[in-house]
Amino acid sequence: MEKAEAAAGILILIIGAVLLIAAYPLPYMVESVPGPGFLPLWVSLGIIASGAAVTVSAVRGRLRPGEPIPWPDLPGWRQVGVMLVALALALVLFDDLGFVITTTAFMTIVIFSLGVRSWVTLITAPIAAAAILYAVFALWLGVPLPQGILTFMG
Amino acid sequence: MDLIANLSTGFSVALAPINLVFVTAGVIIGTLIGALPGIGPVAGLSILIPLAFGMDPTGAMILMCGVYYGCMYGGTITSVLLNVPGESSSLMTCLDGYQMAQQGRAGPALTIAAIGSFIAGTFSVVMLTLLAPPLAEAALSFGPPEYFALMLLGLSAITGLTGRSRAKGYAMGFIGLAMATIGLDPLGGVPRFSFGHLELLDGIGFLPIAVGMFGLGTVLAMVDAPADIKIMKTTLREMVITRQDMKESAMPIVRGTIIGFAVGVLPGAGATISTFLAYAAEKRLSKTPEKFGTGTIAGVAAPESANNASTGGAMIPLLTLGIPGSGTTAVLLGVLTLFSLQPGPLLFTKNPEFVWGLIASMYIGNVMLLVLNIAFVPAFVSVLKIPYRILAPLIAIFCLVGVYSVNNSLLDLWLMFTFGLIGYLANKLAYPLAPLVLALVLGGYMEVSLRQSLKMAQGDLSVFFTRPIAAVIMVIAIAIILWPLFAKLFSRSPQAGKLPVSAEEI
Repeated sequence: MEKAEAAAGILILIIGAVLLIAAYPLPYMVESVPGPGFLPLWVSLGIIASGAAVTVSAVRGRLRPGEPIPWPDLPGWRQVGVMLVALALALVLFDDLGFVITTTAFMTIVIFSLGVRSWVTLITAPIAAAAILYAVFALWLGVPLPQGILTFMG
Repeated sequence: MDLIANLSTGFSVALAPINLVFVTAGVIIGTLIGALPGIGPVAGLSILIPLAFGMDPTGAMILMCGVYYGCMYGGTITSVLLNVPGESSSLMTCLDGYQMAQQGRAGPALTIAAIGSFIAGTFSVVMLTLLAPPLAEAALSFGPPEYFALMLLGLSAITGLTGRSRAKGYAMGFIGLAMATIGLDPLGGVPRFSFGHLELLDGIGFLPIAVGMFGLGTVLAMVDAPADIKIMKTTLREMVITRQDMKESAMPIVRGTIIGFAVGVLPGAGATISTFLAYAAEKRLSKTPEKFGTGTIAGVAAPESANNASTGGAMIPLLTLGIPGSGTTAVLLGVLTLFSLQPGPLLFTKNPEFVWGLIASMYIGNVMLLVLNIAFVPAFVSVLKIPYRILAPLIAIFCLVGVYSVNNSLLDLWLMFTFGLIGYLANKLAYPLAPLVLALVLGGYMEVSLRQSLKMAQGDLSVFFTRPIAAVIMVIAIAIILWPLFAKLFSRSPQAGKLPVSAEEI
């Protein structure tokens, strides 16, 4: 029994079921021509069927015979976690803190947690990153980047 | 349509200074992406989509295509020097390329690879030039039934992209179709799969999903294990090839080119498969097959030519018919759609400067790549020294700002984030992403074509089989979809009918 695989299969099954319920009330055929409900119905059935197939194969242990899933080790999970949390924070605070602060803070935090300890790198890499992004997005593409709390700088 | 006239229009567009900048940038970025293990062309293209969005369409596609075929050149560098494929289409090059490097012949390996790539790449662009206009002209008479058949053919490519588990591949395909369905029904205005959320009525954007799944997904995979590239000291003094080298590579280059081009045109088979086939063919045809794997130059020339030839081949159905045959071309199609440029025959009639400008710049790009990959290899190698610890967060923040720059939408950013996680998990659990992208990009058109066709025919399904062109395409598509079943029925092997693919099939 391949647990993670089975769980994924069941998740797909559930998604299919939810979509089927959403698709059901839609008109399937309108004057002998497929209506808005046609594709949603078949798609949700397809998802349910493939989800079931995956789950069955996983329960039987047939999906990856002898080959474990390449999950990262614990430090690896930590790195992934840090990246995700940092990104989520950056995303939420991007407008408020502004582009410069978010970019440099993100870079500093992440490269530090990934193991960089050299002072030079910890200072230059975030600055370089902000500079590159500024050059590409603000200068070249003319995209207005949020200044956030740095608006007093004009 | 006058070929010369078209090409001169094309070159006048491609040689405009700004477009020369774009093609240069594209091929350099492409080479780097190809060389860097861990990022492939799909990820690279996806990360660049927000940039393309802010650019003029012609320039954007010149850049993106430059990245696309540039990757095929760049992958050779790490394959030969480090035995690490930069991306899946340079895997076969490792076999003999690295052996040649061990024997002190890294230079000739890289040079022949560059020359073969140039010949193959240029050949495929020539074929694109010759075949596209008549094909586009023939497609002018296409109506909804033909388009539905074509989309089905495009989707049938999914059967070739499923990798080891067909159920997983189909699951991703269906999920992609479901995602394409979200929003208002295009032919009726009825909300579908929006679950009451107003923001979903416009559908979910291709851009944040692609950037998330491929860009962020790649970043997460980069950081989950320490993976700094150890650059061993290699001398590249001699990029010079001997007459013997040229003699031994000539036919492999020719054969690799033809195989690569043919495979590239087919939906579902991309650059990676073309390299497997080319290598296998060379080995079979060789008088000394036992030498393959020990450093024969034919073993480098053939796959390297094949993957480049496949790019031009893949552009033909993409541009003339709007069918992408792989994950990478699906992303390109997504970009074209973002610009409201519908590929197909109308593209050639309504936007000739765009199409021919793009084609002309592909010639220019290949020339540049030949020079770059022979003269500037040390420069590329030094870029590879940038530690992943810096590269990964840089790419991540680039994705964030990129998606933000398109719409300032928090929803887009969260979509990108969520699909980044989904992409990462999908790779771990071996769920292929290419079918999802393909279905997402094609699903909408396919449904509209289906419903329009049946409306025209008043519900009569035979419309797909009574019109000759539609019928032929339908038969081919159905055959491709059912092929794995036949293969399984007639063979004992559980792997029957499955082509070898990597999770990121290009």
